[in-house]
Amino acid sequence: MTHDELDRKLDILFREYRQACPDPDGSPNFMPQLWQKIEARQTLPLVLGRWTRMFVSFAAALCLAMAVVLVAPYHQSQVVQTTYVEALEREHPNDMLAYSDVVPDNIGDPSWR
Amino acid sequence: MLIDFSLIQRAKEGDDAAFNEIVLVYRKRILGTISRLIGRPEDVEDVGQEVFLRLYYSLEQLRAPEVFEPWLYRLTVNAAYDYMRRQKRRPESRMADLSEQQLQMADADAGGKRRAEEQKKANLREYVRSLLGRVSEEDRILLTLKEVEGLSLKELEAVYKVNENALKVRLFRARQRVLKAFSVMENRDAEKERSE
Repeated sequence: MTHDELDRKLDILFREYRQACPDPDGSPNFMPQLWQKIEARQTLPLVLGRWTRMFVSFAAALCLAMAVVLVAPYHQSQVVQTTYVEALEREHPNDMLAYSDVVPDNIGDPSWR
Repeated sequence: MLIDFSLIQRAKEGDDAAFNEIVLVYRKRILGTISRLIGRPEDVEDVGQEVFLRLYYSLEQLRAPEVFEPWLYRLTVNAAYDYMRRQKRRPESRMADLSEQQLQMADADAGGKRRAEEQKKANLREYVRSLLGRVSEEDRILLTLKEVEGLSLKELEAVYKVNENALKVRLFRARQRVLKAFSVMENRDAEKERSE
């Protein structure tokens, strides 16, 4: 078969194929299902928006809780306003501090100050 | 154009009744095109609904109502491509489904002549699908739109957004590849006949 013959035969084949494939009408469910799909896609952004809002609220609450947990001990440590030596003095008797050369042993004398 | 421009305008403005009317007018034609592009009757409605779903959500982007039809064809071609890509991931091939369905329909008919006619059509459909299955998706879709759907070069230009010369080159190459496959199939059939 020559190229031209084959070319013509292909044209005929496509024409016959078009006739052998009628356009289907679509089932009665076509339109209801289409509208269901349209509405489903419309509600998707709403659902995503709701999830996003929930996530943001949860994240904000978590941040607040973490801030409270982290900041509270810091404030407690601020309560200590005495120096190291004063704290030692309060914790230990004078003789012990004198013994360890932290404080002179005549600390009780008025002349010491 | 099967519809009035004002109907498109109304649908663009969010009139669901107008959109419904557009779907009803174009449904048959689009389903027919899809069935010839994808070749699986059980999935035609699904792909058709996808086309109109995309139309619904992109209608506001349509600037000129005159290009509505090529634009709808473009949506159809894209939906068909997406479907074919999804199908590629599935291993089984079901090219003969339509003929089986048609045979069942023919069996239901009492007339033997009608049954023979249906059988002939089913064989033809299977043959052309087998032929177009031997070339790429791009070639198959382009040739189906041109040769089977009967779209003009102007319409195809709008669908593919390419100039006429580029389109002619693509069409020529696609046709040459199909002709090559057709020649192979014809020779194979002739040899088969000779051996029988």
